[in-house]
Amino acid sequence: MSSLFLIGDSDKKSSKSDGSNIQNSTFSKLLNFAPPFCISFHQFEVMAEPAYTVASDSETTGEEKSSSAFPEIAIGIDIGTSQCSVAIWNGSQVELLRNTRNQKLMRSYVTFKDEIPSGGVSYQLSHEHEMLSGAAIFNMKRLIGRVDTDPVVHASKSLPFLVQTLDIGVRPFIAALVNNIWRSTTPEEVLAIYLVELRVMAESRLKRPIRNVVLSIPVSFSRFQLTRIERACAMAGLHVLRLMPEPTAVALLYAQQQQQLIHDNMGSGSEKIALIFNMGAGYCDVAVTATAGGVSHIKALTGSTIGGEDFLQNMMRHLLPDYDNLFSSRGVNEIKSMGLLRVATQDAIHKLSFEESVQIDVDLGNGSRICRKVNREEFEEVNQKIFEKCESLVIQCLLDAKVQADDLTDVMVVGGCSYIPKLRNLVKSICKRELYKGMNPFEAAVSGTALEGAVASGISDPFGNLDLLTIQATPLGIGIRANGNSFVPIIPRNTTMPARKELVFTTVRDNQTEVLIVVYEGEALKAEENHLLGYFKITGLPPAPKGVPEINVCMDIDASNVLRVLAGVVLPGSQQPVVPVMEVRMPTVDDGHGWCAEALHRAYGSNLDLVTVQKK
Amino acid sequence: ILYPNLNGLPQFLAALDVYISADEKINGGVDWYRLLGVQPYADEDTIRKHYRKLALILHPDKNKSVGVGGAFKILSEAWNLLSDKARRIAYDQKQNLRGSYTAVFHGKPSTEATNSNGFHDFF
Repeated sequence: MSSLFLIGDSDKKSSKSDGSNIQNSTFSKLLNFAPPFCISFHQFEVMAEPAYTVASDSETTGEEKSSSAFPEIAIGIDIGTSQCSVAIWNGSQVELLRNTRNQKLMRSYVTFKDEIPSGGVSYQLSHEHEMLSGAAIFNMKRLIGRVDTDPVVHASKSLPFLVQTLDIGVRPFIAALVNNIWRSTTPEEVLAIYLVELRVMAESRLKRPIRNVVLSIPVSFSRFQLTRIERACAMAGLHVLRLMPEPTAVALLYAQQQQQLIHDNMGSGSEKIALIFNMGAGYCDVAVTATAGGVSHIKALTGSTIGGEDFLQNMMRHLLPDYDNLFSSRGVNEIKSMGLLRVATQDAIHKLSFEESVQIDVDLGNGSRICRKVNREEFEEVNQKIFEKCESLVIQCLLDAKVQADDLTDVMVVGGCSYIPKLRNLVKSICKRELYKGMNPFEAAVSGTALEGAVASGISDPFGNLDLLTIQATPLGIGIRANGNSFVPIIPRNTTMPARKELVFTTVRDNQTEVLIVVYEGEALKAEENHLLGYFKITGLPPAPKGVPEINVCMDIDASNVLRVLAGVVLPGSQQPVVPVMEVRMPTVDDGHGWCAEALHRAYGSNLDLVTVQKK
Repeated sequence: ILYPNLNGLPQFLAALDVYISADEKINGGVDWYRLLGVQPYADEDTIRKHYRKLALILHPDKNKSVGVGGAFKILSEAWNLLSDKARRIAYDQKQNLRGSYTAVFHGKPSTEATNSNGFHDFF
């Protein structure tokens, strides 16, 4: 593509063969873009202020600046599919906050049976079955930000509350059974109610208002799902300072523990590579991190929507093969039977972590009774596919991190499923290591979020206990649709954040005056198999033969994980963009992702397509 | 402290340093070694240590001054290139090649080898 070399500032030298020339010009751009050269005293005052704002981030500046002289320490929250916890840096160490019932780990559910809904932070269940009466919504984290064609939503249809799907790519209908009425709600609303309870609890414990939070999230969450989490937080009056993939929170705790052990900064140089395997009720995540001097550099992340809930559902179907038929009518009695089976199965699975076999005896109340022995082997066989998936996540993560099992210093298994012997064994055998014993598997993630909360709030510790840093990596690739229907990543998976990357595209038709930029997130080769984040059009391209206009698409992720997509066009011989550059904050799409992409395709076909420019 | 409002100055200057290093090109290419504060023959361990030290100063979690996000992104580029053996060798070779051109043409880098897409400047 000869036009490539005609464009641009000829004073800038670089060769044409490798990536460094791109970076070269990126810098000059950054220099023009970054504003630090005119600085006033006002800005120094801003600097000294505790609240952190991104210089160019007009959307989030303003109201966040704390007026207090002391920075507010953000709390850390681990929202689990099954349990939640809150922790804070108390000035010398991480402390988990307890509710009025003295619990550090609280069940994640909200019951709608009274006038005012109440959640697991404040409410005391009379019995486990009460949560399964249909009046309580739980597993919010599995449902949030998903559409009704998602297999995870379909799997949730066997829960006692109502999950109704129309299979057209819209949000599912979710409802709680109250006085024989299905009352509708949304996962965000349920999560917000729960978060309000957590906030009230933290405020009463800490005796100050709470605003800033760091939350742990699954690795596999799309950016759209992250916006739902942020929305739920906003509904609860909380401002999200950071969303941390769960195993990276554990990695930060590990970094702190290593710091305390060594008491030796930078100089020691003994880098430790650790693998973290985190499996809860809803998600399984793996991270590989390189740690030294308190810095946890995330090398790779993998994750999938598999968890304890899947073990449970597989076992229930194993014990009662007619499960789906029996409960399809969803009357009050069926829901009750379903709850009885669920509790009995859950109990059995827990016991099988410590015993070879367990006796199940449950009367489902509808004339059927399950009375039998289940052994561990049976459990492992029934869930073989899940264990295989776990294995592949660990292997993939090592591969992505370019790390051999022999390079690992430590291996951690944390989360609600961490006592399952088969899981521990498979991680041990892939990593060829005994497991790290220095952390509580249920408290590790929330402790890490509390550390990050302190660090990101700008808190420093006189003893150096907060000389910590997580260098995050992107869990999913981000790119655009180009070259026909392909997904072309611009920021690949496992890129260090904050990040800024760009690629050059061109037109596919002569005199093409418009191009459509469709942004996706994911790993699939076909564009539409990824998560749609948004789209916009660049118009007003001057008529030119195909392949001549240079369309530069740049993606920028800042420290708060805000994604911006910039796109501009130049013609050979010019160094100025022919039309104003577009800058779009993503995601822009709301519910019904699939529809948008299909509608775009119907409306425009391939008329506004793009192809990548081959670098010579 | 005489001027508490100037607390952020060292952090700001650290970020500025990166921008200056990235802009000052030797033989037409960014001197990534200089940016990281290491010698061109530095071993991987030294490079890693310097990267980490700078990351602790330049990460937006640690440094609230303006423009620090951009400085950190530049640092990441430097680390990505120099921590990748193949890319580092290619970079070294190119820098050496440029160096010899420069010598031949009396310090004036060739204008032939222009940027493939210098039009990034407009972002």
